[in-house]
Amino acid sequence: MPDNKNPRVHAEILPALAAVVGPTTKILAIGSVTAKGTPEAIAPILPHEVRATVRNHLAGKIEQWFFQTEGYGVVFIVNAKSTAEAHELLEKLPLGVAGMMEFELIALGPLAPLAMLIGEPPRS
Amino acid sequence: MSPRALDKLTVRVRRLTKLARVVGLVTVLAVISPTASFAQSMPPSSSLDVPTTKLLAIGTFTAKGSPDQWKPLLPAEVRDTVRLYLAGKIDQWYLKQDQSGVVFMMNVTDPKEALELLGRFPFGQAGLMEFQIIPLGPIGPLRVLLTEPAK
Repeated sequence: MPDNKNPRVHAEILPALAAVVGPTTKILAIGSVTAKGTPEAIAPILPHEVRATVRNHLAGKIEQWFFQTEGYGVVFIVNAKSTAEAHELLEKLPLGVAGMMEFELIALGPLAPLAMLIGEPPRS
Repeated sequence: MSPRALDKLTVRVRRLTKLARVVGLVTVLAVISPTASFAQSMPPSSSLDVPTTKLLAIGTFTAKGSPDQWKPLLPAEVRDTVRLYLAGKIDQWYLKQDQSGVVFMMNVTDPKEALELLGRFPFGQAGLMEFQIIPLGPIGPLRVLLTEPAK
């Protein structure tokens, strides 16, 4: 019979966590308008772009969305496990298809160095 | 106060007033000109005007920021990061998976304030990490959905 210690208490393995690289949980997508994306060119596409973006939000893919208040572009935090997965999603947006918006994709994960704070609690 | 001293004082006040006028004009020009050039590069977009509500801060190790340099400072860096979170300034925190740095979503609207806060961290003090700040606001284009519903 294996010992029936609570399996959720992993105190003995905690120090090893500091060395663990966390999984990719989000993709930061910084969207910028290309030279092709003049205001006149974008205007007729924008209503479609907005609807496609909202659909992706409702599908749980685009988790957070922001507008860049200096310059012209967007910032999304995407629920994807890789930049490839996010790229596939974003290139299908109408402005992407029209070559008017490009995304810089940055893979993000949990702030792993926080593990440094979770050694044994001080004994009192 | 002697009349002469009073005279000198008057001259000094006049000079100060003149200086203040020049400084004022320069400030006005400095404020106007970036806005003007900015407006030219922007689409005619009153529908896209939104306030800045968050800042995206992308921290990247500098050429100086090699692991042997940052590793000894990491425990202090982590603690400062948690403190800034507890102060309500850092809203979200992430590690860049390519190990090049961090990404913070900040509850700060002034890029200068953000750079100042982040610059106090040990990595910043040692010149090991630099932050790029991108001001963010609500997703303005959502306004195109606000037309009246069909009756």
